[in-house]
Amino acid sequence: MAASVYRLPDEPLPSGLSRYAVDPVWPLLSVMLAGSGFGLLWFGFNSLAIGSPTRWREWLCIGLSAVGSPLLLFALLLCEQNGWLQGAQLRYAFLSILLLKLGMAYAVYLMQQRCFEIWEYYGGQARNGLPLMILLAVVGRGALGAVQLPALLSVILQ
Amino acid sequence: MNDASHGYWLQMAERYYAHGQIDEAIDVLLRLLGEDPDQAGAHAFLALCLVKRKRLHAAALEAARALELEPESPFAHLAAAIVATAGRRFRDAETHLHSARELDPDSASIADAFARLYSAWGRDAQALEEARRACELEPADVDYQALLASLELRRGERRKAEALAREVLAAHPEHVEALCVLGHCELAAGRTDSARDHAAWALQIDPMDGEALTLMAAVKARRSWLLGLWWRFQSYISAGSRTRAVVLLLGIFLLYRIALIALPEHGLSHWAGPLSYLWLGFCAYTWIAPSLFWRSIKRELEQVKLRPGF
Repeated sequence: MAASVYRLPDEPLPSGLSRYAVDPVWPLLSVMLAGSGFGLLWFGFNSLAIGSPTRWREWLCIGLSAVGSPLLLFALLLCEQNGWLQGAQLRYAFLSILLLKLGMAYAVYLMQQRCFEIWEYYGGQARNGLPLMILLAVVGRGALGAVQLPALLSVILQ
Repeated sequence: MNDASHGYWLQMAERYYAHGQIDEAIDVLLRLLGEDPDQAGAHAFLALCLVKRKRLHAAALEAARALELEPESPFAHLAAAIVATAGRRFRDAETHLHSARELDPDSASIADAFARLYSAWGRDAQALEEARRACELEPADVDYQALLASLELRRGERRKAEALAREVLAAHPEHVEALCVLGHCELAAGRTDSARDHAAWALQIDPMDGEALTLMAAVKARRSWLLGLWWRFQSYISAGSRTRAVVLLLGIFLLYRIALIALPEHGLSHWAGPLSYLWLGFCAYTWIAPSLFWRSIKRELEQVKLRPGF
């Protein structure tokens, strides 16, 4: 039989960055421990590294998280200023920002995980993401805390 | 590539599939489709292989391609139904199976797919009826008997299930589904060691078989409450789609955060500390328990030696 092989729609695309690919659990942990800014950027890069066929959907989720959280913050602050939400109500409402970020991070994780398993099946060798995750959680998060950022930017990164 | 050659490669893929060598079957089918991408049968069969590997997205696309190429093919409808069942889209699966039955009324494999669909749907009586029909249509095929055994076990008819599973294993000693049924019967009878032997044997044949893993997990759960608890939690979370799993996990996290706000509001701030420790323990447990579980399963599989009487 000749060498031409049919390509399955969920197979990873070839990528020159594959030597930097990591298990998507590390970017997910970075979202939780180092802040969504670092974690989502890592997710975005990892989708290129593993050649994820769902990369556009993943980037859309990352964009939704990055745009949605300041919008939610803006809306909640508006509610506070107008006296529509106060005290504990406001604290409950702030959970929506956390939920949006975690929900999007999990969605990207699940999409990447599916591709990552296939990528590994085809012989991909993943790097250990633990050192970078620790670096981001300790140094990156510390740096974010030390710098005075505008509230809307801070809600995207933290 | 001519028709004879197509037939040869399809047969080869079928043989691989029948022996549980799914990756090899996929490989042959990809090469076949590389030569001729308009083979509806190969697309449908590839969909079945992908379901076995839990690549449901690709499987659905392959089944759709098969139907696009041959809308009147019962095998393409059957593949689409099996993919839909795996994705828990039961109504779609039923529609495809009715279409397949209209095209091929006496097919045992369609009755088998109906039985598996109704079993997943929780319509056990209909599942049993369809499994019996499959056995009547093709009495020599042990797969249908094994399915019947599994359904009999599910409705509590342990003796019938055991007899059927033994019959299957007499003809085909490496039948994974029958081994699992017999393993569950042994476990129910309190013979944990024998159940473990059956699970280990089934996993040796197909390490990714869901039923075999469930049986091994049930054996582990009987021996260790810690791992058993994790397995039950894991089964509950992962039953259904990934979206459901994410929604459940986020729901648990949300409840925790709501409780942290609500406790001080109601003058119970002294409970916030213990709750945080409990949450931390839960997180640690969900990280540690899976690795302990899989390590113990791997150890079991490395050590597996069947007793002389097995």
